[in-house]
Amino acid sequence: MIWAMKRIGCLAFLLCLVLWSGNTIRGQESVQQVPAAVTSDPSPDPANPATMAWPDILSHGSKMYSVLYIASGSGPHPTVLMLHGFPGNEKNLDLAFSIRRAGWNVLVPFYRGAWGSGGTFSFTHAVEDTQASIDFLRDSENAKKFRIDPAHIVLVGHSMGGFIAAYAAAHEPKVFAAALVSPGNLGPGSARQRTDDPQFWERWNDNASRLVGTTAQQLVQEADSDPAKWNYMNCVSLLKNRPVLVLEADDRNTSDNQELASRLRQAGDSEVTEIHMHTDHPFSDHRIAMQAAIVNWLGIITAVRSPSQGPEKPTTRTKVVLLGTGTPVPDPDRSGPATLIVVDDRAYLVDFGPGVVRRAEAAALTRGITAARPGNLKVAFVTHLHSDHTAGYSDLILTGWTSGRAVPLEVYGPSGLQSMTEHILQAYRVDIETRTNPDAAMREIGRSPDAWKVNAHEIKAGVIYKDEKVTVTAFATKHAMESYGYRFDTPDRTIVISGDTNPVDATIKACNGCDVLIHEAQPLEMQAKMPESVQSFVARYHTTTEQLAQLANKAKPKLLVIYHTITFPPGIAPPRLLPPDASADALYVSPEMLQKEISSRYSGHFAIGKDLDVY
Amino acid sequence: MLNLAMILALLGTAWITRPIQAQQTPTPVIADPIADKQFPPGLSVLTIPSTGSEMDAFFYLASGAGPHGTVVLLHGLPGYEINGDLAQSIRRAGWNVLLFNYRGTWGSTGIFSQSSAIEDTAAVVRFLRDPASIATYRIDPRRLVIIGHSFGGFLAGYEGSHDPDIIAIGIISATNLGRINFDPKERDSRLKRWQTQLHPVHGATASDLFAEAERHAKEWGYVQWADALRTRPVLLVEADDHFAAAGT
Repeated sequence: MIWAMKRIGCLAFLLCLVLWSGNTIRGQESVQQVPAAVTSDPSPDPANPATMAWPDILSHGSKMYSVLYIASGSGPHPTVLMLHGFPGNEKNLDLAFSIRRAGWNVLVPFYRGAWGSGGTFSFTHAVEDTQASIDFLRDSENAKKFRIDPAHIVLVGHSMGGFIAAYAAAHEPKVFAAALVSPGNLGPGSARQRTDDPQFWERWNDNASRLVGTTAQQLVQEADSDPAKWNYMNCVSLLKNRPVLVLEADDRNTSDNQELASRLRQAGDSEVTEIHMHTDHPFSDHRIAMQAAIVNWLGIITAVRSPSQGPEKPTTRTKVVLLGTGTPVPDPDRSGPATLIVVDDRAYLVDFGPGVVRRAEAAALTRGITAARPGNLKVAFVTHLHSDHTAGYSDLILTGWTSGRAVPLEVYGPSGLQSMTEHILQAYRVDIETRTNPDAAMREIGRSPDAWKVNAHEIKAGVIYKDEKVTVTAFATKHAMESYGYRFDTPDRTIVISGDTNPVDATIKACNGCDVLIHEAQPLEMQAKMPESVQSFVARYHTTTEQLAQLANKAKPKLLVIYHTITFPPGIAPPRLLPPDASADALYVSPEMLQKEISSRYSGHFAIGKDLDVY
Repeated sequence: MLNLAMILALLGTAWITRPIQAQQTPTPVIADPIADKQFPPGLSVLTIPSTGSEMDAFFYLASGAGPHGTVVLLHGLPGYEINGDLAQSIRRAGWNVLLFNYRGTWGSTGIFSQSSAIEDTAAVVRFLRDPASIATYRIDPRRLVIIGHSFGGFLAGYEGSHDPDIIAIGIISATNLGRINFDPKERDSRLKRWQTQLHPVHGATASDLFAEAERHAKEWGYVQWADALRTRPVLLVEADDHFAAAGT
């Protein structure tokens, strides 16, 4: 998953951590994070599950077959129109699933004359078919029926489908963005035109033979009859105000693809992403990297552009970002507890479990939450001083500082916080001295000499923090030590987070119809298998799914997010905890198990939190 | 993703005898392979003949010198879902994967029927055992596995039980065509469902296909194949759908 990446414009933050340089990045080897949508299933939404449909789309009197993957959730969902190549041997359905897991619908139509669709194939027809598909997605009845957000339609095309995507997006301004995956240029002078290459005719004859109503000869004639139309360089002026991804491979399209990206940049498109991968035309050994690049790009273009997009989607100023949903169990998929409340460009952190800084950077990279960049984390609240909630403290203090935080960190929490802070700073005395030494090369990149400092505030229940974006109220909870939950009142939402606790009335009072309640939960089925001592601890200091359902029925949050569930993925349960003769996965809690235990007792809207979920 | 994980577990460790609820997602499902410059993976597009018709086939070839165990991945009826993500994951695990469109579906020539799809599957297996195919596509003919979804799961069971040299089969929520008329209510609702789904199928209506299944009820009840399959690994992946009871 290593590729050369070139990048310009407003998304340069993607690579700033690699280069610390300006906006134009060329030829640097980089590794892109693979987003969860590529590698794992989403939490099921029983009310609006992911599903598929197969509408026939009418194009100029013929029926086109299509597959429509519909994302889970009530939506409306941004929607990708995915265009296959000539003739479409690779339909990129792995990509379709990843995009759907990222919360998008995906429509895959088969052009007229292709794969059984009615009518005949030609390049002109493929362009018309694409317009017909866009019209289909924008139709108000279809939008309602299939949970489509018509303001966010993105074309993704591979090979010839890349040409069609560029052309159709250029001529339909309502298309939000286009991703061109090794787009094949059809016009004369392009790579396509090497008709003296003996393989050309062999390839085109074979491809054309799979399509109805055309031959290789006819298609070449069609492209030659209007050279300007079939050269995608002529789409540049119509595309330049929109995000365009050009994803290149080591194939015959490379030079055209590079020229296209370069022309878009020259035309002033500030949102061109150009990525090159060392692989073949169907991306055979880079399927995961290819999906990661496209899913990340979709996240970034919608995160960056959505706030300015019209009235169809009200802007949410406050977001909840789950950086870590884990427990003391070293689950590789769940970092230690850490939750970010983001209001506009400000971030407020609750707890800093192990992994917090890496996850924060991932939220910036893969979810477009720039406020989460480690240098932007300036205010934190801790629910209690257990190690799973605080083992990332030194990382937050020091990596935040070396990543650009220019002011001391402000931290609020229970008694003992000041002592912990002093001891951590003492432990890292050598590091801090080295980096603040006037001779240190580290200072060259602009670190603030005093920003390693921490102002630790030990709190009691009540309003503990206030600025122009947020008021934070602490309330006492019931855990194995002094502990607090927090309520955040922002201009548009109220968010309450429990920390680790037995059910307490204070949480119900703090929430009282709040927008989001983030609460821990331990499933009954799992607890029953635990040793007596653990069960007794949980009974006193944690919350079972049954108790949480009761609590949520009184607190009435608009959305309940469940986190901090003790679970041992297969193979990592300590033998002392495993019941005799139990299988290695006996103490694993699947999202489905949690789902079942909550949904049978609570009818409100809820979600099983995963790291890097955004609400 | 769970289905992929379970099938890969089958391919990696063939003898799993208890149902598995939660599985670690194997690396080939989530990460690209290490690049092999000498034997890179590829996609070959073929036409496989079956009784005079030409079937479009897509052959995902694994990286490495091989020979590679090879999976035939059979789509359902009509095959809106071809499980292309599963094909890619299986290939990353080091197997070749062949997908094809049955006669009379998705532009493959000829007329579709369930009997002809049974023949098509056998024709594809013959193709994979052909010495020319073995050499061209680096196939290990002693390691042929058939995996099918829905109607394709039925075909996988049929082909596996009639060809003892298929080493294992994977059946994902298979249709039991031998019991299509078992419950009249279920028959009616299924017929209605099929009538809306068969657009890309050429030469057969839902009623034709039902009549065909009813004529073949005896030989198409897949529970009877258990005996023929009992010495080989069989993976049954069930969903919360209308096929679960028939599969178990």
